[in-house]
Amino acid sequence: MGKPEDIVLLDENGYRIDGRKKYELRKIHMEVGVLKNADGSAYVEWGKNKILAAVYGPREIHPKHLQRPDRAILRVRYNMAPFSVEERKKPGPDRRSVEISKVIRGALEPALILQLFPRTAVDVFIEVLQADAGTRVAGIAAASLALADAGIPMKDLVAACAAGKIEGEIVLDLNKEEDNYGEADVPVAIMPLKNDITLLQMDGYLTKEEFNEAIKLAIKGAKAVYQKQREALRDKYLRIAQEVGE
Amino acid sequence: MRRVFVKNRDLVVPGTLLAQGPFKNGRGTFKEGNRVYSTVVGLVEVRNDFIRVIPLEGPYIPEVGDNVIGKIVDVRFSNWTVDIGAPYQAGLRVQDAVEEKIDLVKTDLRKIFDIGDIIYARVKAFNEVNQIDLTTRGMPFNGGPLRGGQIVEITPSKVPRLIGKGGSMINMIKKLTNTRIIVGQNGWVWVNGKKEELEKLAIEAILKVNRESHTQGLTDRVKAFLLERLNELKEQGVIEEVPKFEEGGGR
Repeated sequence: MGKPEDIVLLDENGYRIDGRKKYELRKIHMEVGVLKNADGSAYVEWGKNKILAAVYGPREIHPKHLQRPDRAILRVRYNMAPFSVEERKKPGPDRRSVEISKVIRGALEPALILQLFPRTAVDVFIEVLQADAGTRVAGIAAASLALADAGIPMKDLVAACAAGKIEGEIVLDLNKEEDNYGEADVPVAIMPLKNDITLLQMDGYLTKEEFNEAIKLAIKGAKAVYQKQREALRDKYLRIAQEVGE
Repeated sequence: MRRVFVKNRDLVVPGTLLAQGPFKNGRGTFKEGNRVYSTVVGLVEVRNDFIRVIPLEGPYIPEVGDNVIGKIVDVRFSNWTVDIGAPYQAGLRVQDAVEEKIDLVKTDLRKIFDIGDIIYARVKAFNEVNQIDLTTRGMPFNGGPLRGGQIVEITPSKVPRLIGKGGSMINMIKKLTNTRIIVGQNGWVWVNGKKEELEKLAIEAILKVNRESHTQGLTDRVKAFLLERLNELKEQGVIEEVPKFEEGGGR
């Protein structure tokens, strides 16, 4: 995709198109327990991304052949609202969202202790209300919070963040313009306790050195996201405690 | 060498390092090497060499001997299927529901429990293949069906909080709102009041306990809340007198 002449992704002072520095995250706001009907839910605002995640289960599943006798299965649906992008997105799953659902499932599964609930399913719904690049990492962060809010036992929260390359430089957390006109995008999801990587993708071209730098940077970003996730989970209960004047 | 990194009643999230050393770890935790981590959002409980996390959210895991409230979802030839809010549906067999032998061909089981009926049952068995067997034998009013009233759902792990020490919390709510309440271990609570307003008030109080279960001094706050609302109701002429409630005299 050709880049319009007037777009400068990284200016001479080292500032990016939205005024961030090279290694700066966008503004992130997280909230837990926003939906009444779901067993667990979370709402994440990550820059201009707005994402809602809901978790149902563990619950019995039909048809029966989907059941696993030794563990619960995890089902993930990543969906973009028709109004989430500038050009109306045709509703329903397409090639891209089916793939993202699949990789998010893979990113979340290692953290969950699914053996505790054989023959059941845990359903995760991720709805992108507004998209501005990096929705899969924001979706993972939201889904992980919603799972914890549903009380599904897990070994660790899953944190995620992307790094990328613009104007020949490796930077953290690409936004829409940088994603469209940049050279590469590397989303990473980790379980920070043991530094396990549960999702790693790359779009575009990087040299081996650049790739290593990008992973390191993304992990650093994910760890910052991790702290925000922990705060958001505690905040739900601390707020109530504060309210009653403790 | 035992080291604990958290205090009793600390609020923790999944993946928090709780302790190191020879610990027995209970629910809400997992062990890796000699380290104990939490697996849920909840409050820590440490006693000597035992550590666990009481979850603040989560599904109901049945245990044999639990008294639960359930809803009949299906009637079959010789058994009922019951929803008790667990990940699995429970079953209730005829011989576990009625004392006398009955002729299955001649009797319509719907006369005993019909679809939609609310029952009060005990968990008789919960086995390796996650089959939950219930029994209503020996339960108050033979298990029901409970007529009238409403079902309120709270988090199963907060049931002890709703009951309180020796039933202090639930007896206070019952007495002050003059309402019949049955609490199931599965977090389903049946509430039946003489007056609509009082029933609503009891439900509000129950949900307040559910919401604020992790805070201190809850019983006093719920009492103050109930008395304030009861005085309002008295002014509106819904009730004639605000019931008296003295601690210890609850039974």
